[in-house]
Amino acid sequence: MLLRAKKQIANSGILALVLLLAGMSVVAMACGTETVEVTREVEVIREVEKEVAVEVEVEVTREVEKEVVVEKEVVVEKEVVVEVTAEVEKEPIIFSDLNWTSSEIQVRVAKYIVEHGYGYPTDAVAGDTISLFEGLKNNDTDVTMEIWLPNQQEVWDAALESGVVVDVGKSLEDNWQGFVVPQYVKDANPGLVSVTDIPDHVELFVTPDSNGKARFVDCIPGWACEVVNSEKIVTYGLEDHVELVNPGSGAGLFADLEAAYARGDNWLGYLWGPTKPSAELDLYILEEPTYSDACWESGKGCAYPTAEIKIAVHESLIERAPELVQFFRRWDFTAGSHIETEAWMTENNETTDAAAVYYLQNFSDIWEEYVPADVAARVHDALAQEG
Amino acid sequence: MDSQSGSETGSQSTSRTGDRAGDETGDRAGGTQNGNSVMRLVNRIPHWIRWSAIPAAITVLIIGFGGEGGREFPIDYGRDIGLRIDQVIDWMNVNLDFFFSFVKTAVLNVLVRLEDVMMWIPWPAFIAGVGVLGWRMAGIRVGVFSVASLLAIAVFGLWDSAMETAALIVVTVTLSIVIAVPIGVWASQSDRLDAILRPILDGMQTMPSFVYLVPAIAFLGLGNVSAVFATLIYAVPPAVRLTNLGIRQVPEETIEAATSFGATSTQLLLRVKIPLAIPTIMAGVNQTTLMALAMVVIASLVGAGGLGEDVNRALGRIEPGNAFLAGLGIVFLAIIIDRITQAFASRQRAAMGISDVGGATAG
Repeated sequence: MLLRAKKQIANSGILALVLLLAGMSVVAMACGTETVEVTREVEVIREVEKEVAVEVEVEVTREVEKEVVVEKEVVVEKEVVVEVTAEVEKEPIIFSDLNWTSSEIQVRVAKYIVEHGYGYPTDAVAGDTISLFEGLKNNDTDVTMEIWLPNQQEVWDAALESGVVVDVGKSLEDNWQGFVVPQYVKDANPGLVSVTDIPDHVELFVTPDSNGKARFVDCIPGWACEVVNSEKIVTYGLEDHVELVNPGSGAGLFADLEAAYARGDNWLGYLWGPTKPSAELDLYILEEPTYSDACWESGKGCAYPTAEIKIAVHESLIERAPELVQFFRRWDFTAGSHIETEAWMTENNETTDAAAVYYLQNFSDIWEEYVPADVAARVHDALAQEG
Repeated sequence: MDSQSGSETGSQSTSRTGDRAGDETGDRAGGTQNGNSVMRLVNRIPHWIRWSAIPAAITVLIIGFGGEGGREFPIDYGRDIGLRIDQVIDWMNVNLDFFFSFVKTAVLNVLVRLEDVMMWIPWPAFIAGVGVLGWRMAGIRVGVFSVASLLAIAVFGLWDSAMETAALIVVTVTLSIVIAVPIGVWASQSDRLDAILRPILDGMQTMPSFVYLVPAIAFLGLGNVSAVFATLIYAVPPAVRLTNLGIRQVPEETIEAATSFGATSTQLLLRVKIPLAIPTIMAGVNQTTLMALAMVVIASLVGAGGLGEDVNRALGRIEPGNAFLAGLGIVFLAIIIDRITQAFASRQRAAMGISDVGGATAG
């Protein structure tokens, strides 16, 4: 009885599976024939790209000491065509895909230009600050688009000294760090203007677990801002008025702020930008005295200096792809354009890949400026094919 | 090692009982006329055709999807569904705040009190107490180990962190037992509930914790309460499973004997089954505790304090040495708790005259 039942069930299963597979294959046939043609078109274009891109590389490596100018690269192109086609495949360029949106979008923008403009295969390895910095040092990745100083100062200095990692410039130059409240809190309490007004507004931020003080969500544990914040709090005379709450991680900090904002609750804490909450929410940065070296030396009693956000490449890239090192040196990506891109992404519930295409399409005047004309043309060709 | 094998036999046995239940229902369904005519049709197709149809269909599929069309699924609703879930979380955050605030305050009060008590106990008293407990329960070796490792924690400068972690573990494990044991008892009485629970428990144990940890911040805020909640999700399943198993493993003859003396089903459960299942339930408590300790570092990512925070901070500063010491502190706590609770479970077994190996099977 039992065996028969089992066999019957098995049989009906097989029948259903066969029918399903047959049905799907019919659909597949229909889909398959359509797409094949499209792919072929793409392939043809790619081949053209390859030839051109390799030529450039050959020229540049040969004359790198003489500082090849853009026009010269273009002129020599035609002469080396035969030699070029025999050239080996380019090694892929691997990006460190740090797990926050500004880096994710920068990586995808750069990746798009490197892949479609310069003709290198690309890849990205996802991870967090620490693991990806180790990855860059070991050349598991080639490029990191955001190294936040001074948060990573020590490891950064050590890596520069050893020579395996090369500093190729800055990104997100208009970034900020500070103590923030939601704008609606500021509107309801016009007296809350600067950090020194916190003692008069403690009761706004008291929670059951804050010991009667103002709950202050601090910096991520282990980051340099943790030490800076505690110094600031002493200098501003806030130590008896605020209860520091450790957010545990960036995700923890953002989730806490966004949840409080959604409820319309009062919230006080440390934040930096550009970040997802800073792009998405209407926040007020509490005023602090303007930064000066003198005040920073004596108790950090003034606003954070603009952080240096470095782009770093592994030293092997200098020989392997000098034109890309040049590209990263000229890289220009501002927090302003990032915030606009991120706002578009959130509004349309889109991916960071789509956001990179959006950026390339809408801020072409920025990136065309620092990319050679032929590279820009190829990027535009690729963009024209995006949906 | 012991605890590991305990949990394995546990889950195997539960699935065995489950299969039995499944086979019975399958047998019954097969006997009905439903679907018999289709079956007869299928049976008429020769065997070799039926089996060669599968490779044939796969071949057709590979050829059909060979182009670019087969590399990408034609539709993608992932982000839309994700957005809907976000909206539900947002709605709960705004509208159920009164409830979550209540839960948060309640758990927080208990936690803070307990932590205060544990910090109030002078360290020599605490170390001596744990040492004596280890010695009386599990022998002199465990006693000496407990004292030595607690001293090591103190020398590493991790005493306060260790007490905070211990308080967190005590609260979490207590809550886990309060939740898990009744559910386990109920599941042992109902095959249907058992069948429903199993995939849910699997999900609780395998869903990556960060997935529910970050939304938990919206409801329960940063800090230890979110950590307790996340740890509960991870630590409750073994206690439910082993409670269920322990009660199902009570020997048939014992139950028959009790029934023939006129025991009601309530008496049977409370006076016979649960007491006999205590050793297995204790193994569940042991598992729950170790699970909770395993969550300590992950919980620190939402601001939970204690040894996990020390690990997190040391890693943030790229100080692997300090991270290792804090990690070692967690290991010491785990070993002390494991040895003492295991010894307690085997004492229970010994007191009932049940052999130490293989749970309650020897009866």
